[in-house]
Amino acid sequence: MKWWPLKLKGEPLLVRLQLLFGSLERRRSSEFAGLFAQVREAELNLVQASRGLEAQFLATSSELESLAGFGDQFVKQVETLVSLATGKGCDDSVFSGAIRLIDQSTQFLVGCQEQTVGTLELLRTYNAQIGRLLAVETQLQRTMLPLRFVPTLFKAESAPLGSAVQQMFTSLTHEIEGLHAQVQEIFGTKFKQLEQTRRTVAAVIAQLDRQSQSLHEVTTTHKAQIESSIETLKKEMTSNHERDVRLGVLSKDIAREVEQIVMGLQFQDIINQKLQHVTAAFPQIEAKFTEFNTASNQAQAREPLHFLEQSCRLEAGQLQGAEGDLANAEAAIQGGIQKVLAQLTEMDSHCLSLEEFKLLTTSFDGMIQVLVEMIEEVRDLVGATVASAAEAYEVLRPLGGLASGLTAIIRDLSARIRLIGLNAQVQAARAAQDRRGAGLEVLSARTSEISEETNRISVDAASQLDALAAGLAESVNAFGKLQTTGLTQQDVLNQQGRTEERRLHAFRDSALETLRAIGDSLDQLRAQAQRTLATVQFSEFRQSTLPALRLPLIAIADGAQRWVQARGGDQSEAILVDGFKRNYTMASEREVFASVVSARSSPSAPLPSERPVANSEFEAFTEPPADKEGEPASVSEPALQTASERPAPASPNGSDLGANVELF
Amino acid sequence: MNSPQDSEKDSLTLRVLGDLLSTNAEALQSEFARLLEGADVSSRKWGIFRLDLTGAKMVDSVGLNLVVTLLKRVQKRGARMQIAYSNANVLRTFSFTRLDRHVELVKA
Repeated sequence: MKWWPLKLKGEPLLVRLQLLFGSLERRRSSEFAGLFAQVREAELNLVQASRGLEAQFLATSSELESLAGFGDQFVKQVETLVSLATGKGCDDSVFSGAIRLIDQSTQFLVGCQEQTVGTLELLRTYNAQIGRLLAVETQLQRTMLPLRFVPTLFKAESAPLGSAVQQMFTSLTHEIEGLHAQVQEIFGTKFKQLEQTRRTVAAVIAQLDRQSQSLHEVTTTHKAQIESSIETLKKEMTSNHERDVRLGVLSKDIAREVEQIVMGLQFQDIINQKLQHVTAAFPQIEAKFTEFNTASNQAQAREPLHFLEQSCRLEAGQLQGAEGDLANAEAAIQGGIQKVLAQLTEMDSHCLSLEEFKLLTTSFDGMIQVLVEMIEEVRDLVGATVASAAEAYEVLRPLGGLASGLTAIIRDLSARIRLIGLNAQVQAARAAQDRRGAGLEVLSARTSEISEETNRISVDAASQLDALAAGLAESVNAFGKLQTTGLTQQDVLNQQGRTEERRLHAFRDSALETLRAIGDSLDQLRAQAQRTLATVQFSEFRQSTLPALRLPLIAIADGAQRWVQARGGDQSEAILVDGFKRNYTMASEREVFASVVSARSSPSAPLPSERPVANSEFEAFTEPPADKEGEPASVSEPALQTASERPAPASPNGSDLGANVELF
Repeated sequence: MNSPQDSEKDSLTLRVLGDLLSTNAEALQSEFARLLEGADVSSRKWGIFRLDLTGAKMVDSVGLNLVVTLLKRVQKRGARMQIAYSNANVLRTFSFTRLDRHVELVKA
């Protein structure tokens, strides 16, 4: 096509120029058409992708709900653990039963110990008595020694006095010999048994002595431990209710962080609304494009191009805002989840190391361990005491009988000796009638003396043995009673002690069980956090879907702006898209609107175009520069307009735009 | 149920198969007492007592009580105690109850 006419002046030139501009415009129109095609395709894609985004948010919300559920469960478990381990979550009945039982058993052992001390004194006395009784043997031996020779002397002295006298003294002699045999038997067996009794009682004394010392040590320690435990328990129970546990603070931090995550989810509504508003504007944008395309002249084309420039820039701005919102949502949710996870991990390690836990649940010297060990100890001690009492009872019981038996024998001996003495006196009297019986008289008298002395020793010994037997019987009774009460106490310890042990272990087990549950919950939380993070994948929508729509809109706006400027259009003309503002429900949308509007009214100010994704929807656009009154709109290109092409003034009330806007 | 293992000259190792719970603690206690008091062990000089809990996933309160009882007996002999574990829950239990301050915990 020849552009240059043959004539350079006159109508043909203008016609040519008009044709030239017409073709230029047609080319520009095809550019717009291309861009609009992109916009339509991107809009369709957006609709689909929005459903996908909504599904993603729903998935995130669902996973977050599970995460929050696990988190709640975890926090409750930690609170339970803290309350258990610090005593807040239980009353003192868990411990008071055990303390009462230990106290009662300790009192019993104290009683045993006091009784043992008393019994030991008695047994030592008895043993001393036995020692003295054993000395009687020597005494008797010594006293009765001469009687060994008396029979022989009687025989010798009675020999010259006739058979009748011999017969009398023979009988006496036999009695004396019988006495000797009896005494030998007593010394040979009974006094040996008495010696054995002394050794037995000494052994019992030694055992009871050791037991008494052990009981004294244990009961003293126990009493101190019980008092200390009760005191500590009271103090800790009181202070725990006022103590501000770090875990409580951490719980609140977590709750706040979860709120932030939930707010991140709310971006979905914001984004959804913005996209709906953007999508709602497209029919009118399309209509204006059609209007532009079908405009028969530039004047007709200007107004729709104005509209397109403003509306496309506006919608591009809203889309950029939506991109920013999506980035914020992603950051809020991902960052929040990571923070919550970190806080929960801190909470877990904190609850393992909390100093408050050492009192009750510490296995080495915590109260539960101490009480369990004390119950075991008193059980063993009571058992040992009962066994010891039983042993002493069994050992001492026959001794009383032995003593009594020995008493009977000695009394019998004493009676025989008295008879011998009397007999000897009778014989002595008879012998005195014959002057040849002087020796017999002396012997008889001496025999009588020995008998009396022996009788006295025997009576004394018998009396001591009676006392010993009575004393031993009393001690044996005491040991019998101790055994009986000890068995009762043992029963109590076996039944109630087991109950209290079970209760203490159950308490510690509940804390351990909660601890295990916390560990499991933490594992669940970590897994759930990973699953949740996997759903937070908004990048494609943000970096691809939205820009695919925004960039062509900006290109349309820029192109329309250049076209209007090239035709000397006044950008401060009526804001055609003012009506859009009425549809905006969010401050961020109104801010974008305001920045677009202010950029239009100050053409020197930079116009909104593609900007990097901002952190806050409020930072998406710079503040519109203040209008400078009186500044004429600058025009970059010379106006190529005829008078007929001057734009008709916009209707004062913008009725076309207002009506259009009302469509939104 | 368990076996004495003599891995080093101056150490004694006892392995518990499975968890350390109230259901088996009493039986284990008797066996431990028997082993510790056995002639070949009581007369031999050992400085380390190793309790192998690598097969355990759980230790309950009665089990803990048994460990403490063993620990006190070991300490009375002037020896020290090591506990080998493999399950994180067992470690948590010993940390929570502060037993890790009295025994050496060794991860298997």
